[in-house]
Amino acid sequence: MYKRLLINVSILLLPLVAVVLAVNIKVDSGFVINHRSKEIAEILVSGANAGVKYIPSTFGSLQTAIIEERIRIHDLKKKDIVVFGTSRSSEVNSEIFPQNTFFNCAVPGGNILDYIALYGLYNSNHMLPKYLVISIDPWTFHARRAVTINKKVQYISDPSSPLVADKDLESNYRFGMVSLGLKEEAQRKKNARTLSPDDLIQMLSPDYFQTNIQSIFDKMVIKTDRNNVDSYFIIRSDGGYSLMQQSQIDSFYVKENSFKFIDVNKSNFFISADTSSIYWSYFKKLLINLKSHEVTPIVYISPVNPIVYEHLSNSLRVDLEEGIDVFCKDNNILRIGSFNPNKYGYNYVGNYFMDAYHPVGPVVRNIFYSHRNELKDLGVIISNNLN
Amino acid sequence: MAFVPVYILILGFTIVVDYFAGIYIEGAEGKQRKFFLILSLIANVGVLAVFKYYNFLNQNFSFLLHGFGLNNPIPYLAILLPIGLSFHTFQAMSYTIEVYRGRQKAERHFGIYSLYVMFYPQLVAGPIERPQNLLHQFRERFDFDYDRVTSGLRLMAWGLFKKVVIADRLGIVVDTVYSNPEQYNSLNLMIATFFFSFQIFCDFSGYSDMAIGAAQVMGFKLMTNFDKPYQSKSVNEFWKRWHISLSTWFRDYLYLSLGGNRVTIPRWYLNLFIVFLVSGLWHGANWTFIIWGSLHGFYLIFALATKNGRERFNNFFLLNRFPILSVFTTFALVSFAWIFFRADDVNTAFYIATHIFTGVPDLIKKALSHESVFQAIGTSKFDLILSVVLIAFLEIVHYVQRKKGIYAILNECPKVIRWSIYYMLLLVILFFGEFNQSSFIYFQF
Repeated sequence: MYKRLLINVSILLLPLVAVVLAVNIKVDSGFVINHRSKEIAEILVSGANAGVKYIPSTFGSLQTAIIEERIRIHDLKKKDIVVFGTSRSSEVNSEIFPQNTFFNCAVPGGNILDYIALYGLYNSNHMLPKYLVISIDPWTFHARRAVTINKKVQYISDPSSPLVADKDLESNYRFGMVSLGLKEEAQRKKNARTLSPDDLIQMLSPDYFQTNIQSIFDKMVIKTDRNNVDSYFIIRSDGGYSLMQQSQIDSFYVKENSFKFIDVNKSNFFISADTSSIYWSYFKKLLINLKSHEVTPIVYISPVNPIVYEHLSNSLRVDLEEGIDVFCKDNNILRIGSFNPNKYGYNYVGNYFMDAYHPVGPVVRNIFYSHRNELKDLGVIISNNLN
Repeated sequence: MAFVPVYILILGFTIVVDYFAGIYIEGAEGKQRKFFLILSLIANVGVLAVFKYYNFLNQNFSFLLHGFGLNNPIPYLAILLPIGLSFHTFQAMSYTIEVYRGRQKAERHFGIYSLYVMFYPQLVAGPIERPQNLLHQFRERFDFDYDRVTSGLRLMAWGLFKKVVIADRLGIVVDTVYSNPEQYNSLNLMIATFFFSFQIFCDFSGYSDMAIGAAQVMGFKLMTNFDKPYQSKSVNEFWKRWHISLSTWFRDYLYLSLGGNRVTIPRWYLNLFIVFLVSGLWHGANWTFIIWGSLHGFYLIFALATKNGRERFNNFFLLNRFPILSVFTTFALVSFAWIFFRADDVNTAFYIATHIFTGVPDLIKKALSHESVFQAIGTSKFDLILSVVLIAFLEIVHYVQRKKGIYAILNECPKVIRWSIYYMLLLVILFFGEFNQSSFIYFQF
């Protein structure tokens, strides 16, 4: 009787499990086991943009993998301008700098340790640019922890924990640290390209199956010359990307998301808390070291959504920005942008922000354009095309 | 609502208290019996009062003092509500009350008594069992029975279908609208409320099916908790079909203790109202639940008070020839009450309760001038249609079950058809289930 039950349940369930497994492995729309970084890098190297069906769950690591891959196949020749940044600076693109060669190393969620790793990568390949735009974000000097809030994964500040460096760029990180004369060891993130038990469980997930079945006849990676392709996330050949198209912005979501962001990220706007002061010293060291390599650093701060900033300025001082101001003035470093959107005339949400802290492309271009004279003094010409 | 490992001690505390209370009640005479019962009830209700109601009562006390310009010196407790507390507390209370009433022998085996309170399939959300039904089963020996096991598995699969395919799908619309009702017109408020009526049914009855099915696989028989409640022709009938284990608990231990209907008519009405008020409070420490319970109490009292008049009216207009009208009326009344159950706070509930109807003329105007009355409510058109189809399917299954149990019908089918139905059910779960949605609604109680 037991045997009969076991056989019947197996006959009933095994084919379904097999179908789920087969579809999830074959389609793998979240790039869980098939990372496709080489395929994407090759498209980008050819000068075209790459479209991926979904923003991969491990996009931060995918982006570093793509950058590394591109450097490995000698694509990224020495550029005039390079950006070390995050998703908040992913809209900085080559069109802003018509007279210079450009590449944007925007690693989603990147922090100062990732910048040091990228510095190590560029330095070891003798590709340090003439100008390095370094993006400062609320979490640049703070560890973040993923938590589930209202059923969605969000990152909250965890100032007492050490930062985590991307394992994909480990050797570059080590090289960067040594080049800067720093000895502090950081924890490593899980290498996204190594299969974990969670990844294998994901292959059995019915939820993932549903996502995959909808894309079963779609191409997961496409080659395109356009910057917008419906239902694809585009990684530009210049390294930048748009998290969302203008038409997808939902003002209601933007407002709701802003209030959630305020609640969980307040302390990210400080550099005084616990471990952040150590990483702040790394940052200063990096800028000074860049200058010694005749690289002109430019510090860039993307604005946060006016709802977020209004709440912050009502309740606390943004001392991270003040600290950057003082340091840049003392060391004659150009600093552009601000957490404060009002400085550039964005005093209401409109369609200028896709959520709490990601400005859209025209906002970023306008900020660079507003500083065109200071940038011109440094030898960088800014396009007057603001659209 | 939370699972905090150390909170297992609360469960341990009530188990120890009720275990000994049962033995002492059985061995005692006269007033002593009552004394031990009261001790046990104080311990159980006390745990509920501290963990579930203390902060609510304190908050209301603060509000009251604030009205007189005073500050509340009583501190709030930084505690979470242990998962399933109301369920296992009520199950434990039913044991000591039954021993007190002499209808159940005190259980001497501590392990068996603990199992009665902690029996895992129904620990966190019922059905709230009675000792007469469950305790003796723990002493029985169950041999493997293929039909029993497969029947339990089928019930679990049906419960899973109701939870992940229907309840969680409907929940997307309900959550979207109920979190910002001001953004939506009357039609959408109606759709969300209609959906919530089925969401909560599928969520809770889905859990009950899985609990009963899981117990059945192991050989245990738990009581039925739902019996096609939305086919009820009156609110009174609805409460005989909805969360049966709780409504019978209140009937047996509260309503009858208050005198039931063997009292004067005003007192009878008061008894009914008290029962539903307490039932509302049982669900949660929030005024929304109290209003929900009171509303049901009001429905029942109104129905009793107007019974003769309504019958004459129905006879005169021949409405009694169309029982479906009673089903619709009952469903509408129950759904209206669900607004208070689902809304996050009283203001939101009143906003929805008032705007669900006041915007109707505007909707009609728009519809007549061929303007769209639909708004985006967090789901695609396909999902919306699918949701309605699933609700219709559910009620068709319930309709078929009125004449013959669905499992009996299945068993009569040729194997090929039976297996095709199983595959269809599993495929529907696989393709249309919402797997990243919430836990069960009733876990919070």
